[in-house]
Amino acid sequence: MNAWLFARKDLDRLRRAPMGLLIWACIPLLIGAMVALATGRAGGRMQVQLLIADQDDSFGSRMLVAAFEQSGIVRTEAVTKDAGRQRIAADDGSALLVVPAGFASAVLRREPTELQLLTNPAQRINPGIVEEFLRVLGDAVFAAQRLIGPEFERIRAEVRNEDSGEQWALASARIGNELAERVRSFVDPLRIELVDRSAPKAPDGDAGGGGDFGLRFWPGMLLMALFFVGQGLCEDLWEERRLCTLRRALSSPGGVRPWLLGKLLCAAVVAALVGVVGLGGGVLMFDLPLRTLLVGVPWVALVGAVLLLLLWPLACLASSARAANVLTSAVMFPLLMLGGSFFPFEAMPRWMAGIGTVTPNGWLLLRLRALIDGRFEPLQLALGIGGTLLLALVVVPFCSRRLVRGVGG
Amino acid sequence: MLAVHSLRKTFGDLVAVDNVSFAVEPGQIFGLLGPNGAGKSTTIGCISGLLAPSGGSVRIGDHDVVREAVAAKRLLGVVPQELAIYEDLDARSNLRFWGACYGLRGADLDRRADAVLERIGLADRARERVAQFSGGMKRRLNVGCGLVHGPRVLLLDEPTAGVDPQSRARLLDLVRELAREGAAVVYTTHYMEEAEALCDRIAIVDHGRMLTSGTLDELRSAQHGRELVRMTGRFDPAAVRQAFAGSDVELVQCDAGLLMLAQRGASGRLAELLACVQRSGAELRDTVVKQPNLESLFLELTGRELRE
Repeated sequence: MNAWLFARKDLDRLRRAPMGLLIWACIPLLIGAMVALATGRAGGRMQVQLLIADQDDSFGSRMLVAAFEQSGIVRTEAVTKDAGRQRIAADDGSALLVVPAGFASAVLRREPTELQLLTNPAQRINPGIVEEFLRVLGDAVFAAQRLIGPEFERIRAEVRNEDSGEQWALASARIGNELAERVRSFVDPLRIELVDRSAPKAPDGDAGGGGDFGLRFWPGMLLMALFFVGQGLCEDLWEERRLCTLRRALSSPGGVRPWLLGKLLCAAVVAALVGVVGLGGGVLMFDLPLRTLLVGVPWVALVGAVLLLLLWPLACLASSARAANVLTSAVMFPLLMLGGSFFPFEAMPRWMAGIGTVTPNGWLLLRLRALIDGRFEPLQLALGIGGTLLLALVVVPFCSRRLVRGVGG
Repeated sequence: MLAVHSLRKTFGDLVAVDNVSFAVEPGQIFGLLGPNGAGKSTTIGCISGLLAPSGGSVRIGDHDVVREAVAAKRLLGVVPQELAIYEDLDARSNLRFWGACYGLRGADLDRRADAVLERIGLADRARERVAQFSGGMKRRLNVGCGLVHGPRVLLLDEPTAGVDPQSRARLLDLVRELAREGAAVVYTTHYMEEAEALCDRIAIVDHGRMLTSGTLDELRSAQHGRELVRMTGRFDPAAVRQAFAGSDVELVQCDAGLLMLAQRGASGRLAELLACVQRSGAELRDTVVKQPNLESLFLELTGRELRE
């Protein structure tokens, strides 16, 4: 009860003079938002707009279109050849693909056919992606023609009406199944032992692989904002000492512990507010579900309290407000660097990421990223809460003694 | 109401408070008079529970401040020497906060805060940020925060330091009012006039020790109406002692640079005293005659001015 009284007082003071803390909280969030926007919105994925003039309009040409769509980075749109040319000229689209009439039939007959790709000269990267993708598709079709050419022939023979998608699908499915049956004797059981030589995954099996830089970077920025806010709140120990309000508080019946716990509560509330803003921004920028806010904000509040508990002992050991600031900064910045706030773990050398994930802020960041990715880890969260309580049990009495001694002279 | 018994506080080898004892009854204003560094604030620190006494005991009401700290502190109001208020809050919020720290809640808290605002003359500035207040207004609020919960023992540690005369008079009136209402007040100051005007009983402290205590009349009578003559210059202590041997003049202090004499009606016999000193071969530079008061008593007890 008394702790909440002190927390309310601190919140009231912050409400009346919020600028300092706002600046500290906003700078990292702003950087995070800028990086996220720079690496693309809508989950940070690039969207390449491919216009397709499908003059064949066959089952085969539609499969080609579907292959582009399944890439996840190309959005296709059906147009006529002329309309497509005009759109490209008007810089409305990355490229125009013209699929000529008889394309599918030529592929099945293993005869030459030609796809036309008209790229947008006003764009540099996106047309290149389409070109590369088309080249890979061409190689795949060539390989398929060599490997399963007879099957192609059989499909074509079974299809009497080449305009009938249904006949193409039925023939492809039947012959495809026969092919699968033949292949099964080689792969079930496996005759070849596969050894995974791919690069190791991100530390701690972390969140979704790292293909999305903005989404990886942004929780680190949120942690940085919380650290800065924590440092600002930590300075209040010395500020209240300067104001002599700490001295008066020590003379009151509650003493120093409710005073400290009040500051801890205040930090949790402020962190929760930063979390609402930061995670809310993330929900908007990365199209995350609203659930992210519900599970993320309490965790962010806990993180705020933990970071303050980490900084307090340093501030209490210092001999002046200035020394406290230097000391907390000297610890905070390396922790931010290692703990995934300056660079995502995925962008770090493996050894550094390994160290970073066991720093307190790095560990808390990984849990936050897991929550953002929709992974609920009850054991880890319980560990976090228990650890925080344990930390408070050690730090609060230590700081209480230091503060009483400091004020008493 | 407040009983301090053989209080001692040391910081390493430094003895800040040495064997100090006094008691203050409800309605009484007890003054601790002494120069800066005499141990007044350390004594207040021990009474308020801020410092753990190295020896002796302090009881507030029926409670020992060390063993029953919470119960003792509930009866206590403290006004520290430095301003101890939140300048980014308004006056009313400050009073409400410190009142709540002592357990006041709801309508009672509001009523007390408003009453104190009236008392300290800040009712019309209640919603204003304290940072915008003048020094005197801040001082008054500082006092108000110490009495918002209606303490039975009030510790005021030099509350008028750096205050304009108007605010000082207002604060002293307020302290008298509180005492009339039954509070036991401990008031530390190095202003002799304040102690004389305000306190029922006074203790003179220096170097952590209580040199004397009593009512103002008792302290004055201890001087037997003697005036104090303070001379500076170059003296031969042996010659001076010989010059005044057998007379009714008391040599309070006599060394190579300073001579202090105490004598009833000294101001009327100054020429005779000066002649006697000069006969001893002294070179006089400066002579001051002090009427019997707390300052002269302090001088007599310590050989130093109160504000030195």
